Amino acid sequence: MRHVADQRSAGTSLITYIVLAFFVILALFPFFYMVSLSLQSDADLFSGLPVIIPSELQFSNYLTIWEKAPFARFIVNSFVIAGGITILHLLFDPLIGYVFAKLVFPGMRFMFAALLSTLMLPFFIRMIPLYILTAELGWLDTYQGLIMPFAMSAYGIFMMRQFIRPIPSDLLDAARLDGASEWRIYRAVVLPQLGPPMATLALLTFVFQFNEFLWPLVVVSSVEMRPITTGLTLFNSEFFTQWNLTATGGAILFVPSLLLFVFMQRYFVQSVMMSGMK
Amino acid sequence: MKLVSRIAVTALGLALSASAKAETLKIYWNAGHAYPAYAEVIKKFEADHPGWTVEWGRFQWPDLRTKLVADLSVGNAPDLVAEPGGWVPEFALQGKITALNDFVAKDGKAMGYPDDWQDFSVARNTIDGKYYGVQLHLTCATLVYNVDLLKAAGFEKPPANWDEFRNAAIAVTKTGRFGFAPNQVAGYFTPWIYQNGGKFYDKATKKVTFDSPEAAQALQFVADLIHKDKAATLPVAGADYEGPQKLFTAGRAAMILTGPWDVGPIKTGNPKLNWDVAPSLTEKGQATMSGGVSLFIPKDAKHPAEAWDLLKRFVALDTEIAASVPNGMTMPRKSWAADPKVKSDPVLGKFSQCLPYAVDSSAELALTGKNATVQDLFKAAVQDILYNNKPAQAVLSDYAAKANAELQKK
Amino acid sequence: MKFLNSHHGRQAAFAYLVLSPAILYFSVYFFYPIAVELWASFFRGQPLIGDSEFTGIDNYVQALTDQRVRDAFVRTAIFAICGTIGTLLPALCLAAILAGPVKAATTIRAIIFFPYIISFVIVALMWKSILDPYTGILNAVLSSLGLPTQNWLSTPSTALPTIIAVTIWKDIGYAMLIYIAAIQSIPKDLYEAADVDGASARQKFFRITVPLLTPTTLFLAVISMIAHLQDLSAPYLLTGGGPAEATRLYALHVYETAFVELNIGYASALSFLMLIVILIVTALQFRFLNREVSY
Repeated sequence: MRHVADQRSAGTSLITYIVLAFFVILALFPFFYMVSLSLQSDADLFSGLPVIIPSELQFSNYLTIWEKAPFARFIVNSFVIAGGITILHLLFDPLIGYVFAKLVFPGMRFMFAALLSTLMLPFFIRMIPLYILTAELGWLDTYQGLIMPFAMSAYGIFMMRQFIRPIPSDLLDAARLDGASEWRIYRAVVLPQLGPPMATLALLTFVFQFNEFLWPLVVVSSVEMRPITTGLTLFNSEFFTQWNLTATGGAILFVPSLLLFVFMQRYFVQSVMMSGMK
Repeated sequence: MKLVSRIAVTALGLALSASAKAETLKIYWNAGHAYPAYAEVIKKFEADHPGWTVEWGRFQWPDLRTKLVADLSVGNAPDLVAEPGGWVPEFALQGKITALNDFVAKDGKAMGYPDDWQDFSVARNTIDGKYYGVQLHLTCATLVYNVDLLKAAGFEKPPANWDEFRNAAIAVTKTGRFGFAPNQVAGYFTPWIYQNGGKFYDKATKKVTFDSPEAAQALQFVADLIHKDKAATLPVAGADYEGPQKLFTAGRAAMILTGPWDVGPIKTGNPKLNWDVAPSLTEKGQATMSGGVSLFIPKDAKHPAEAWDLLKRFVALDTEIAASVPNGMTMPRKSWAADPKVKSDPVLGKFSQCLPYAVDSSAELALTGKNATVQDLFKAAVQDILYNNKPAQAVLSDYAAKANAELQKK
Repeated sequence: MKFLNSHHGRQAAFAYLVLSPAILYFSVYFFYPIAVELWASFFRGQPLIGDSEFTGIDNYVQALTDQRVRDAFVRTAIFAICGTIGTLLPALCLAAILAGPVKAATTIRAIIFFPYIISFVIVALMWKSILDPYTGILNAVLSSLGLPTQNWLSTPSTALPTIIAVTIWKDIGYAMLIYIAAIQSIPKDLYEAADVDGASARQKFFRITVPLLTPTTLFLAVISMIAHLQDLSAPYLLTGGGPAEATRLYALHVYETAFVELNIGYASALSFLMLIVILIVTALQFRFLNREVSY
């Protein structure tokens, strides 16, 4: 009997590997260039010619960054903010997503539509009223002020809803007939199947928040409360970007997200899925 | 246990510092102007005012503007703000800036304001006799050229008028090398307009005049250099200013139009480059654009008196000299321009010589409150000419009509 | 009480219990700001920071008749559609390949995901540097191969395709990741059952995988369209809206209206017009893709 694996490997032909190689190079090359840029000395930078391999590796750029600004504090800030938001999302989004995916209750359609509509205005339009709100709460220049506007979002809820949709409703009904409470159904039936989706949500939320620029710009006034994103702008002169240092900062900005991704890999491995209806 | 006690100590510390709260002076500055000289000024201020801390917010201009606009909408304004030019009249007209007349009445004589400032640098920050800002830096752009490249092409001296300029540019151009690298920012085209006898805005008729034949000729001249003579680079669209400087530093462009802000990058980038600063071109007249940072105190500032004290320190003559020489930045004081240290500095001396014929093309326009809109339209016009290679006169007439329509509106 | 004791009743009670913090949160952090902005859109001047006057729907009328707004909208529509299709299609193919037994699949997935992790500020710097017509690597490589070089971001005709390409480059990894997570949620039994029936790899893909991915596709398509229609960073950081407005996308126009021209009322009106468009587009997508497909 032919195995799934055999059939698949017959299809994993040379073409497949070429396609993959193409995408890998496409993804990797600019990244290499960024790393190269981060190690370039001023001479290379100003030579006006594209330099891929720096003539000398100025590792000291990585040290300069720490000297020129309280970079360690920036990193801590970024982690606290992005981490806090991610945890809040992991707590609320799957649960709320489940409610919209599987439960029937009056007003559901309307509320889901209203929820989605919150995605449809660009952030900078909401920004000024949010800023007024944050100022009145006395939360300017604080972690709570930075976290709260992103504590929940329709994006994560919507994502979880879509991941939960394919779970057979009969499974849930069976559990209800057995007398399980709604909360128990969520915890025992739905949640265990959400490994990969929640890992994805955590990763994407963290990355997105880690790279957020506009809100910290507006809400933070002290240098110490800046996250890495606004902290990096200190390295630009008036009309001139110190690209090598900025790239260094970019490289440092990149690493935590990368580590998180690697860490999450185990959740991406296919967990033992529930088999179909017996 | 250790963790608990650590938390307790931190909490106690926070509580204590909250009760013995020092006063904070919030200032917004451009990250590129965070000179050591200014850091010194801040330190001295804090020493002279015990219990005060200066929160030195440093940003890029667009970010600073976003943040400032958000702040003004909440009434949570900083105490002192640096602006790149034009914001003072803009925000003053909206009643968002503290008038400084009382301060100047008291301290003007001692600090030399307005007498020690170049006249037009005072005018651009004054509305109806009220002082709304004080010029911190005064800059102008002029011709910066690569001595070796021009010499090799047969030009011992830098060009003095448009014809010479064009010839020099064409002569230098080879593969991979260009005579001139223009900047894509629309403001950099105003020198050409003024050199050709044109004007940007006419206060008398309350209309823009960048569609005059003189102005159109000017823009066409540059556009032709790019597209017909192929002696100039097509500037890269974007929000940054540094393209021409990079090409110049790399020896791939022989001439650029720039100001003291590029001195640092050029020197650091290519210390061996043999370059010099020339007076601006003279066609029907000699002219160039002026610019530079001004300081203002928002109306909602919490500590205007202390902000004024700090402002005085930033614009003191010693500070100007200390800040200008190492950074190559030109300053608005007449006494600064006369100082021997400045005169003897090869670069500073040459840039400051352009100040007398520099023009602030948007100063009068700013008083209409429509500066931003008109500048936006002018920018679109310039880009249309440069990138779509459309004839300058037609495009400029079109956009001037739109600008005038905006100016008519209430 | 009968209702509450019934299954539906219990569901509804649970639902509302769970939703109440969310309702509170969204009201404060989303609907209140949106309401303020809606109010501001009926004023001319600077409704939030200075003087303004009530002008009713003038702002909306002006927006609809402004040629610049219309042009920006068309560009943005092109950007959104091309960006969405250009992201989802390759992402789906990559996900299908990488969810299976490919050597080093994990590493490859990670690499393709890299571009999304990098802050767009850095991405923009990198690509501007690479695409610079005089000092950029791409043109240097092309000319050394004897191929024609382009002013990628400086030619009106190539600028928009170029920024579309850059956004696709950044987003493919993220869409791929979501597809992979969804594919891995599909129980293996379904495939095994198909094998017993003698199905080919292609049949399995189109008959099992793709249909079961409909909810995921809906999610990605909706989010992608919404994000693209509101995208500010791409034009702002890569081209500033140039050259000659070729990449002046709608959100950039709105942003400049608000923060450069300080015309906040008009900017709000523009945003709400786009909101209506997005609502319609999303509703259409739901109409076509919101099917309950389960295994």
